[in-house]
Amino acid sequence: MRVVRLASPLLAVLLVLAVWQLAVSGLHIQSYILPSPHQTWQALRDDWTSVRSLAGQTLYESVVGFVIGTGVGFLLAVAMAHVTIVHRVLYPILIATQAVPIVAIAAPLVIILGYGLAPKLVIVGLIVFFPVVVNVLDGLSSIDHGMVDLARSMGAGEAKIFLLVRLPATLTPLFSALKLGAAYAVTGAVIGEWTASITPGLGKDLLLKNSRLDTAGVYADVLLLTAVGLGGFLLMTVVERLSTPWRTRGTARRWFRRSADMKG
Amino acid sequence: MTDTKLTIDSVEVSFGETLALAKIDLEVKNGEFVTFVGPSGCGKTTLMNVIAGLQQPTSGRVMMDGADIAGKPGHVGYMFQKDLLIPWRTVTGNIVLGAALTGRATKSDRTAARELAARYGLGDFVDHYPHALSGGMRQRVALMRTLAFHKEVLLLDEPFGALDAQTRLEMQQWLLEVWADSGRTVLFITHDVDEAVFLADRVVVMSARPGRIQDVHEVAVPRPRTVDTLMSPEFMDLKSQVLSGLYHTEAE
Repeated sequence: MRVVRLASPLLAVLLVLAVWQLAVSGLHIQSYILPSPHQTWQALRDDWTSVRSLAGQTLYESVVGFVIGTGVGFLLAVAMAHVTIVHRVLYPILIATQAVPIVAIAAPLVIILGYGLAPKLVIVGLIVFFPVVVNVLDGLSSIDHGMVDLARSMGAGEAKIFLLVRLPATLTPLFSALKLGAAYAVTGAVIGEWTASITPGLGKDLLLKNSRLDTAGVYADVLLLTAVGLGGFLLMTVVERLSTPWRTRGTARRWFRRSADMKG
Repeated sequence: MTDTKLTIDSVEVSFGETLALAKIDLEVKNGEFVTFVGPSGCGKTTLMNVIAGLQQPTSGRVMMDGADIAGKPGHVGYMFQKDLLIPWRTVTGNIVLGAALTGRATKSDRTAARELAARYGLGDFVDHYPHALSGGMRQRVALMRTLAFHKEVLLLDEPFGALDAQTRLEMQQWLLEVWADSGRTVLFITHDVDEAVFLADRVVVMSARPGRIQDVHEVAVPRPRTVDTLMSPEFMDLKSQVLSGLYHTEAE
């Protein structure tokens, strides 16, 4: 069962590659319109040294923007859940930030923040923070009131109730948002590089190659960006499984039992 | 066994215009098992909430060991109809919840929790998460959590209401065993007259609109009680008394 589970996503990737290859060779598509998987792979290998460092730059923007965006989102959600007035004031503003086209605010952002790292982080942050706010708010409001009453009847203070009862309940919805965000963050970084950048990055590189009609190079970049987004998603999935063991396991992990015994 | 543990002294609760509880007076002896029956809306749970400190009474006092505990949480162990086990804590983690919430669950708290679980048949499940347990096991853990909170008065609000009949009977006998072991004072709410009479030293019958105490029945049925007790004439007799009291109230 485990083998099937692990192998099926791999099979899906192979299927996509096969269809891609068949389309190119079967329909005799020119390589400057759609390069074959092999040509793309070749372009990736030829350009590896430069592409790798560019990918590092884009990865850096994505990760820092992701951390800032999700962190701010989480704090906002907690504040909104506990202070009604904050919720009433902030919610419409947050919705408005999502209605503004990201590409459209990139230009004004450059005027305020310059061409450096800052506007890219803001763009990535704007994309990833919203799902976190919505999901964490959901998690906090869906808590069984009985649990809170139980904790109160035991004489627990609000801080302890938050830490032991409310906060862990947000983990499941939080990770749904983090998985989405990890994939979106790369898109945000690319948009940031296109509209607000003089520094290099994979998104910038992609535009450059496109203008040179280096289609295989463009596809190589796209493949790499996809891999970065996918990697982020997978990483979040692993962290999720480790930090919410009760969702997938019947008993606590061995090492956790010991550390729990010591922590209390 | 004759000294008074808990005194409910003219407790009244109203929600806006609605009088939910009208002047409740009751004395509960140390180590006594008192059950409460009554129609929905007779304020049984409101009364428990007042004793547990979750609900401030509009007037009146709840005295325990010489102090007024009405509206002050942390003095009694309260168990709800839903087991309310915390999904991300193991059985051990749930049993020590009270300690964790009010300070720190120490190593000895955890050891005691494991011993408690082992003593009452859940020794193989101490590291299980609640979702991996059956309904009866979950209620056991919830009761152990209430016991491990180390309070002398336990409030149990329909703890077996969601269980099937057979599991419920097992749980009732188990509860009597735990009660005999621990010597705690128990206030127990139920809808089930059989359960009320089977468990209790005294059965308090409440009526609704406004919630008040209608009758108090002494249960003179000898302990230990078994399944056979349920068929004995004195049990049947008492049960019909309680039932007729409930029936007349609802017919009014």
